Amino acid sequence: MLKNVLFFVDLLRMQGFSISTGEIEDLLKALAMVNPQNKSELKAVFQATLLKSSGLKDSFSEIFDFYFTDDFLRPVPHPGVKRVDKAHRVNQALKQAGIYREIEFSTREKEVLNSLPPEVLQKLYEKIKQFYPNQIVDSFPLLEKTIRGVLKYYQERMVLPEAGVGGRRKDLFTANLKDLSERDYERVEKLIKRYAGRLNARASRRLKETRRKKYLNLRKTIRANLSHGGVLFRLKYREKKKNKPQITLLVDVSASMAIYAKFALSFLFAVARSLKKIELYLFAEDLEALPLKNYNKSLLDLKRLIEDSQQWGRGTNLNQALKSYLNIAKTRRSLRRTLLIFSDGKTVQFAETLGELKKICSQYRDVKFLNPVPAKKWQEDTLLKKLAQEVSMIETNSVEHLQAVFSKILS
Amino acid sequence: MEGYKELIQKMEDAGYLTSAETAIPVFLALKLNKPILVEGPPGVGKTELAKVLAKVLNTELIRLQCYEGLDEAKALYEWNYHKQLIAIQSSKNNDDKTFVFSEEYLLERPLLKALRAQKKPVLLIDEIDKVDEEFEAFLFELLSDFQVTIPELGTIKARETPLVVLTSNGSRELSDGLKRRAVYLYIDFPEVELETKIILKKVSGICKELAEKVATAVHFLRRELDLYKPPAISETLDWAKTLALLGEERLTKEFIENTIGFVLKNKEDIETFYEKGGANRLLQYITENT
Ligand SMILES: Nc1ncnc2c1ncn2[C@@H]1O[C@H](COP(=O)(O)OP(=O)(O)OP(=O)(O)O)[C@@H](O)[C@H]1O
Ligand SMILES: [Mg+2]
Repeated sequence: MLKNVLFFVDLLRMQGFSISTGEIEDLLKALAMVNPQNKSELKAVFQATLLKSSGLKDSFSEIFDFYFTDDFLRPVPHPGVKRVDKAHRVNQALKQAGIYREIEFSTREKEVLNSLPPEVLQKLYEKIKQFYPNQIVDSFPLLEKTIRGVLKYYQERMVLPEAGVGGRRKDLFTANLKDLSERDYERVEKLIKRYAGRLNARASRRLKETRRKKYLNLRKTIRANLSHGGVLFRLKYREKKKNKPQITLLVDVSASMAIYAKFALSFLFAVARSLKKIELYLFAEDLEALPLKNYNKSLLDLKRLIEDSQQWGRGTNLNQALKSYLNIAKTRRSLRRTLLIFSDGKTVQFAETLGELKKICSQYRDVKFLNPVPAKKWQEDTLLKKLAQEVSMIETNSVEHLQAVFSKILS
Repeated sequence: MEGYKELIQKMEDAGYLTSAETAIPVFLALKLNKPILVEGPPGVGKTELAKVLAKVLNTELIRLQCYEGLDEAKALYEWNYHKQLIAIQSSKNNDDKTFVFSEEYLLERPLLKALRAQKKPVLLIDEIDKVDEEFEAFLFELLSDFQVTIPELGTIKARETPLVVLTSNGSRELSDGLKRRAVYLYIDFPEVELETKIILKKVSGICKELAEKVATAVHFLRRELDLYKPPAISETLDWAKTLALLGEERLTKEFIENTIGFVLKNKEDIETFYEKGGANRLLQYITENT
């Protein structure tokens, strides 16, 4: 049946349904929970987990009715069968350590627990073992908090493996982007969307608050006048309207950098609606503008797009690229623009490059050099050391780093 | 709850009759601990579903009715400025007055209430398609973490994640994120058999035969006439109640013509009804189908 189910999902995808791995995960869990006995029960399970809009209801129905076979109805193994007892084991470990209390895990926590990498679980058990019940102060809450903290950490970073597949577990949030394979892309996209979504929500809330600039900010007014016995003579208004920032991104797509480029683009697009304007350039030997209307591109699409560019895979000449950029930008410059350069700094004409960078830094309010080379290594590398002195350089080689960079820009 | 059939039974006990197609997604939302997104035409019982779930789970129903322009102050919390001012003015001059940013001066709105509930509540976010995308993004964020920070009071995190029921009349597409996170339920108008049961449950003093005739009649109006506003379940119920009240034992031409306004609420629809054969055709359809 599993094969049939996945085949059906593929069919839907081919018909233009967008279905994420998370939804497939839900579907498999749901099938095990309901254990459908007939066609209409099965259809209800599919609809509940895969269909998300009334507009697609009829075509969903059509595809389902057309492809339904009795094979679908053989039960799927419960995706969680092997792992159900981890929560129980933790509590067992507590008992063995002489702590006669249990932690009540939520369903979500159980899920996370069940999918923790073995090393992490091992560490958890060790923590419990080392824990010495204190007679005087009740230290159990501390232990409980620690354990929940670990679970929360892993939940946030989505180390959960894909459903059904035993798959490698990778901390996609902190992993070096160059180590991600195409199999991870869909989950990375999800992760990027999630973090970008939070930044967007935050940014839009700020904007909204400040948009009503004529209004009195009562909270601030009352705050400011607390000492005046309620006579409001210092009125506070909501701040002036904040503008959305504008971003120019120059992305190095030379051989050493091409692997990173798409992730930066993906994140940038994911926060596009919080930005006023985006300008994008790819560079290696020289610079080329990347006009993009449709921001809704998958990582694979972006990869292809980059591979289609003239600059892809060539050697880096940052000096030339910066010169070309300044030339283009001469006519349309704006002060509130943030200039991001994403490159490992391995360039020919290094001395000239430094000169150009200096020039750019004096002309732009905010220039950031995003470098995938780990910051630890900058001091060993004479060139990078010099670069870091000239421009604000930020280690950027994971989703975590990207989110930190954009969080700053948008705040 | 072991299976969805048990859920159907419990909902029925609480006065809500439903089919497997509706109960399965609800059951899954409960089991997977996810929000449920309910769509469907007006009057099929979307709002009622949330109310009944609260009854079934024996918990509180907290309702956030959405409308254009709904903002955080109305949805989450607001300071009671009026009360704050009075308190400041009536306290002594050299007192510390930061106390006005305490619990007592906080106006709790539905979302905050849901976060602070003692027992897992049912949070009904009704007609979410009416708010703008920005507020939807805010909601989405809240539904991801179930926590908020109030600068003066600190972070408040839900003890128990509420069972969230989102309803939408489909006036616009909701964001992908929200849809991905939720279990989806489309409630359509009930089949004749189910609607007959609903009538029997909600209208006292009506016999099964007559209930079935009413359900069939409404079914005809919805399916065959292509109306602007097909009758909602509540309109079926009103119609059946009137029949019972008048002690009618049959659906007659006269009764239909006198009360058609109970089920068809707009002028064009009533005209369509008469153009397409009126009471005679309706009665013929009922005879053929019961
Ligand atoms: N399955 C049911 N069993 C019993 N009564 C029902 C059922 N469905 C709907 N009703 C009745 O129909 C009435 C209208 O339903 P409700 O207001 O929930 O519809 P709605 O789908 O929310 O409509 P709208 O889109 O206009 O908000 C309810 O008050 C209830 O009495
Ligand atoms: Mg309603």
